[in-house]
Amino acid sequence: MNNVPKKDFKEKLLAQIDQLNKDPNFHEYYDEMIIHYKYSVGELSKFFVEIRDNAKLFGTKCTKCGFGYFPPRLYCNKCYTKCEWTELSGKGEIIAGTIAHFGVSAFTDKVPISIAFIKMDGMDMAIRHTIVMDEADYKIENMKKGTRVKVQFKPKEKREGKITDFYFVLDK
Amino acid sequence: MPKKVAIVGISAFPFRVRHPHYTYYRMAFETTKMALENANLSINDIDSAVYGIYNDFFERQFMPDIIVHDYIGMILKPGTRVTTGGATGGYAIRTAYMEVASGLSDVVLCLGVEKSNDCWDPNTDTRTPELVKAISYSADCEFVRPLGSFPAASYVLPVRAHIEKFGNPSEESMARVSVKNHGNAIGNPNAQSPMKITVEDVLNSRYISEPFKKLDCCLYSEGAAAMILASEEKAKEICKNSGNEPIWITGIGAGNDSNFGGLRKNLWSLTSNVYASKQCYKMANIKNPLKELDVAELHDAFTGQEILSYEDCGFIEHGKGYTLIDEGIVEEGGELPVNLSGGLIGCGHAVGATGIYQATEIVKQLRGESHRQVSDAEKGLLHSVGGPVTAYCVCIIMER
Ligand SMILES: [Zn+2]
Repeated sequence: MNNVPKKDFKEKLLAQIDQLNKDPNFHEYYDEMIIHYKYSVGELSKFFVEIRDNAKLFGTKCTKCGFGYFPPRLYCNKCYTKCEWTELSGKGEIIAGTIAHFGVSAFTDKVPISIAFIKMDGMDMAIRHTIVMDEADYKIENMKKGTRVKVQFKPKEKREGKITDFYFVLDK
Repeated sequence: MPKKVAIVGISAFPFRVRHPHYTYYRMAFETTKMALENANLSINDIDSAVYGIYNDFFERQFMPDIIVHDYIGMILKPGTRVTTGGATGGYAIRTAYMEVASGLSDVVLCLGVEKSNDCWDPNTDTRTPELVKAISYSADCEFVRPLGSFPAASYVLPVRAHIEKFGNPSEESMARVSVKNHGNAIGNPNAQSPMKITVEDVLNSRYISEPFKKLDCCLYSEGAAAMILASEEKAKEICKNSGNEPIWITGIGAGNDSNFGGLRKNLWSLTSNVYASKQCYKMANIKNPLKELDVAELHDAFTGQEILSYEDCGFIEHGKGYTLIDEGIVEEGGELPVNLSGGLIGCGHAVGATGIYQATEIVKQLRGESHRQVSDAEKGLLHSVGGPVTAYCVCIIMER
């Protein structure tokens, strides 16, 4: 058995790092990575246009096995068969949920937020989305499996044809 | 039949919150230098390289691997980058293994490096929110990323589903994992967060994404790790010169689940982990992992995830994972110690380097060089996980 490291390079390096990290004499500068897009959503266009123009949610169903996809997709990955559009009622239930008290930089002023997997009625796949609640309702007890939720759309003038055009509320 | 593959050299560049005095390519260089010294080789002995670097936003550089490739002196030799989220390390080892097992290369460098905390949020003058924003681009940008998800909120949902199905793990059981892993990191010079804490300390820390609290979560790190893999013939020759025992890779399994957690049948089980671990046990002829393994390094980005992994890696049946921590079975001195290095919670998470780093800790155990040595350890498991709701998984068995 070889219990002793053969070289002390490692210890020297560690001492060096800890020393350097105390030393304020280093340089850092501001930089950023930004790319702008006019992003084409291809076969998903109907989904986003229906949200924006008609405040309607559409999923897709496999024409062979009947599996319901929401978020929608054009092909069933099990049958390799085309799916067809189907309008949803806008109601569903929580599969699993959490109350988040932390967020990415664009969301740090928006916490707490509730994030849940929501299975829409008639669909087999759940979507991960947010449930907007009254301040006092942000409790893990309100995020139980089976809790009924319903969709809410932003006012028409604020809708952009994006996933953020709608959110969910508790269906009390 | 694949050729036999051995690990003949290891190294790690300490995981710290920041290494502002080091570029990522210099960290890669120092780590390569240490791995070569460990194997008593020179860079000229390396036939090809596999690089584990996860996130282009972290390094602020697309194709950072080609910069590393030059810096470490691998010009005109093959080099491949792997990027599979938190499982980048595991998949990099798998790729390096394939290069040797196929006979394409005799000696391969597998190098993971990540420098994540240069990300900075001007609004809060802090780093983590911008760092998790960089990570958030790994989530589906059509349907998930715009809603502001982040890793803790992603990984907590299977744990929530598990709690609702089985009534566990409790917040106390999860806290015990935090106490164990922070404690195991004490004495590990590569660890970022060695701490002696109590269950109460964890329970009193603030909620990040319920029920995960601050001390249930790993911290992001800057660091690097490397391994040198060699064919049987080469390994014997190299180890004769270096005096190290060759450590053999005897099982590898990998599988990716849907990036949409909502497409999975059972959210309470990390099914990619079940698939990958079964595959690696089959290859290594392991029937009862809890009994046959001497040591395991699991991807504990979050405490609750470690407990679910006990079940999904086949240590115990579904719904009983918490008993392994509550009864001390995964503690130092227990039947199967898990994360004696400290894991991600104790050591930190330098994403692309993490899986390779944890593998080097298994190698240390099998060589008898660990700061928390399991006596006569012969078989170890590495579990490397990443992506939305643990979509990617690689499991690797290493043997003396
Ligand atoms: Zn189908």
